Amino acid sequence: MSGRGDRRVLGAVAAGLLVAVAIGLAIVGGSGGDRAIAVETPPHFVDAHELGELEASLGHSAYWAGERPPARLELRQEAEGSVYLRYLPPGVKPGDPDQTYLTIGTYPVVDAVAALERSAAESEVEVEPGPGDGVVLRNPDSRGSVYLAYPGSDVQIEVYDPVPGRSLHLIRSGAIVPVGG
Amino acid sequence: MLVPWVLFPVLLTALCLGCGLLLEACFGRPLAGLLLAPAGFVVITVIAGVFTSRGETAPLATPLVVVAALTGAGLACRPREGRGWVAPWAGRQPDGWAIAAALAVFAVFAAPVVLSGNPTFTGYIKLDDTATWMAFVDRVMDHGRDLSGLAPSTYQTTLNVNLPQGYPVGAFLPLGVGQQLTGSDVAWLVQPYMATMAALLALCLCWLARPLVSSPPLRALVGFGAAQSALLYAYSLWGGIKEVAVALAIAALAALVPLAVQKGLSWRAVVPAAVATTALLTMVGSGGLVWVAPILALAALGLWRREGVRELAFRAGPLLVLVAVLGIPALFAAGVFSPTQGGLTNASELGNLFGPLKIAQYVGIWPTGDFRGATINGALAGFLIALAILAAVAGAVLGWRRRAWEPLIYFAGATVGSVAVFIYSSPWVGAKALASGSPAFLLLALAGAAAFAIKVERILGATVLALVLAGVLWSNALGYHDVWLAPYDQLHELEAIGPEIDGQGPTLMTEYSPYGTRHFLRSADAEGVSELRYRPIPLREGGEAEDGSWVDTDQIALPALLTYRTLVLRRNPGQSRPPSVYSLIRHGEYYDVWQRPPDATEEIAELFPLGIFEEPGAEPECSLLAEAAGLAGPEGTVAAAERRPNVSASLSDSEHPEDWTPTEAGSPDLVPRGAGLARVDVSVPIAGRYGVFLQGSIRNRLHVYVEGREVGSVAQQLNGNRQFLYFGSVSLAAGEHEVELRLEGQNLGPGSGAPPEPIGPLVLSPVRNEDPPLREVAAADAQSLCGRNLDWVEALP
Repeated sequence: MSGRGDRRVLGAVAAGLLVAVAIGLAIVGGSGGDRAIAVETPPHFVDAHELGELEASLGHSAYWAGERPPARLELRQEAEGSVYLRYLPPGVKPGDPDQTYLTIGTYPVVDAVAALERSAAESEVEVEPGPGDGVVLRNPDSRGSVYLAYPGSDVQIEVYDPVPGRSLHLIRSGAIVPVGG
Repeated sequence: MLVPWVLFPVLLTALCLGCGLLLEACFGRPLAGLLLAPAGFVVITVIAGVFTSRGETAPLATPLVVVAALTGAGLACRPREGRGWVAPWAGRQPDGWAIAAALAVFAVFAAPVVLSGNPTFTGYIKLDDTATWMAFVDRVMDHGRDLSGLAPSTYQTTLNVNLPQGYPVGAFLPLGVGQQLTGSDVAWLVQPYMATMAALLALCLCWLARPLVSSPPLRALVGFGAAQSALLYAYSLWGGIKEVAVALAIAALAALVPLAVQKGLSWRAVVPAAVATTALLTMVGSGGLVWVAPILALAALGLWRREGVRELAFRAGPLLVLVAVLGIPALFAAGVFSPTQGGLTNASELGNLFGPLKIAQYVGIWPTGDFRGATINGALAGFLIALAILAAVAGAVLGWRRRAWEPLIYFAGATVGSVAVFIYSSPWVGAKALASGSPAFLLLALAGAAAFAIKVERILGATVLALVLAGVLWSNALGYHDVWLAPYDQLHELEAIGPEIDGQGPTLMTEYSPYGTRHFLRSADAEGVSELRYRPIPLREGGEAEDGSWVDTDQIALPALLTYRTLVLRRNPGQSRPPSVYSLIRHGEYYDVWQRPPDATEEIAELFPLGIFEEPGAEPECSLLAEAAGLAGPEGTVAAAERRPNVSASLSDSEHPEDWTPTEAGSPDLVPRGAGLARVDVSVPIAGRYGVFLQGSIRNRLHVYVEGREVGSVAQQLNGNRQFLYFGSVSLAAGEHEVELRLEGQNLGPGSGAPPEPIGPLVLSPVRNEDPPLREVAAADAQSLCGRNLDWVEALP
């Protein structure tokens, strides 16, 4: 085969690879088809395996506090990429309006640490050191709610527990981790 | 639709072509056909900028633009040898592909509005700057920056915080010229204006791609893609007039500057570059130098290396003189170092952004419905962005080898300027700069891929071109699907109300409606209770209304309310009847207009409000009536507005789909995630005709049925704080009734895919309450009002 022919074949192969990668990412990323189903989901139960798949489709980490039997995990996902994981005791159905269960929200926020620091400045409070290099901000408007962010990360984590102090304890103990480990 | 979307773009393009021909005549050599209209656009900006810089000359701006265009066309008509004249277009070879690309870009930018079926605008509620742009156009075209003679109003306050401080208005001037010539309200021209500018940008980009891409169809594809960079398109979807105008001016400057360094030309060679430079400075003030300086510097560098310093001075001198002469009036009127340009460098100035944008957004691919957030598929977006960067590198290498300076100068100048602003300015301003410069990156990427396909490897280059283009179109399709459309019918009603109450101010709007107060009702000296107030408007409970909020007239301190002769009130079942001195003079689908006689301000000793939100009536304590009677005095009277109780139903008590959830536990609303049907029972205490209201906003069509009969339906109605959707009225017997709400699912229409807003509660409000009967009794008989359901009680001495 001539040099020109080789180049053409190589070009075609490379082009095919590019298209294959794009299609693969579109499928794995879950962005094809009906966005209403793929991106925004009503509250429903999920298991740890499904959570792993969720993180791949989100394009960013989602945080949780690990499995906590007998509580079951309820997932709610918003269109803009926010994810809420709620630990529901036996007998409570997904979508239950009661807001008294441990809930962990993960929100896509550009430069999450800077955003948290801005929020703190606006509320005239200070961020506190968190686990790792993270920073923590206690929600001044809600005693049960504490925010967490890590340098270089574009997600902000909110831990809510109605029992005073438990959210902060969970964060400080390192229990809040990405679902993918 | 015809005036905004056909007449206006055609007229503006014709003016641009005429003014482009005038510039050609000044230049002394033929300009490329593709550059005539973009060059004419910058000419219009400069002419209007010069004349609107002073109040006395502002009314001349539009006539002079027309004269300039006609002069240009006239000068281009050359006498034919023998007899007759040669038309301006004779002898030019129109680039049909580039024109097709421009029309396609126009269609892309037009789609969110045109496919909605109404000549509305986008970005409603999301960013209300468009209301300020409308106010600028309303004022500047007739009075320049002169605000004398304006009565206190939100319109006056809006202008006062911007124009005297030097806010640059150049980007809005061609819009103002077109508005004056078509006579259409400027609100309906905002989107056609941006679509027209984007089409002109596409022409420029097709021209700039020429040295890299020899194939006209491929060049058109490059221009088509680059002119709709996802970030620029996103800005066009929330009123980004300045960003689109600046993008066009940067591209026009990059396309016209090379003419200034051509060999063997006189000083007139610099005229096009000088005009484009001045236009950019008129649009953004001295901040425009961040783009002007690198583009001119690169051209100067080339000239110096080729011709030497003497020739450089020969060209640079006239250019600077021309810029000074043409630009000084507008620049000084705007303030060379205006506080509104320099004050936005605070790193925490986010404006309406969620956070600083990602620099990757400059590439022009960002697949998401809202550019402020993350992409919906980060991995695929990252892949496409990386591919675009590789294609741009290929474009830069191929361009350098082939000495294709125009696209390289455009890329370098736009990128240096935009990235510098992004780094050193606030996130808010930096994001705008990225948007305006982003077509340059995409141009290099798409042209690089196309050149690679032509010169190196066809299949691979074409594949990269297709993938990058697909990324752009995907991003924009998501933006289109999630667009926030302004409710045309509602604003059109305000447009009709404005002239009816012209000069009958001051006027108060209790709804947050920047488009009403800053634009549609300006001739009635309207003020918004919750934005840009001139007068303090205290509430009874103290303080003032929160920004962006709605308040009932009962909540406003009586003397403050009575200051306003006219009240334009959004129809709302929670709305109290205004005090007795006001009469209903207009009842519309969305607004009621109440007015008091011009001199009736001192007749009410006190007004005692009753009821709460959603139920603004109640039975008064008899002691309250005694207090009113005491204030009225023995000769006085006690007045009251009688109203029937509203019927309210919480949607969270309804049968509804599982994925329709309340915003919080116990709230009476639901967030309707997807199509579905909700059923709720209501108990009607008194037979009569009831208006059917639902609090909240809706995008996809929502139908309301009572006892199986459709009352009405609403779609694409975005509301502000505490506002309601209105479905129509229905006659009901006393007793239980079943109400059904059926929401249609997403479709391919614009705005259909944006996140749902909460709806609820449902309120049935007696039609009789729209103008409730007044009862006035002698103070001695005030107790006869005990036990009645009243809106308020007044003591009238």
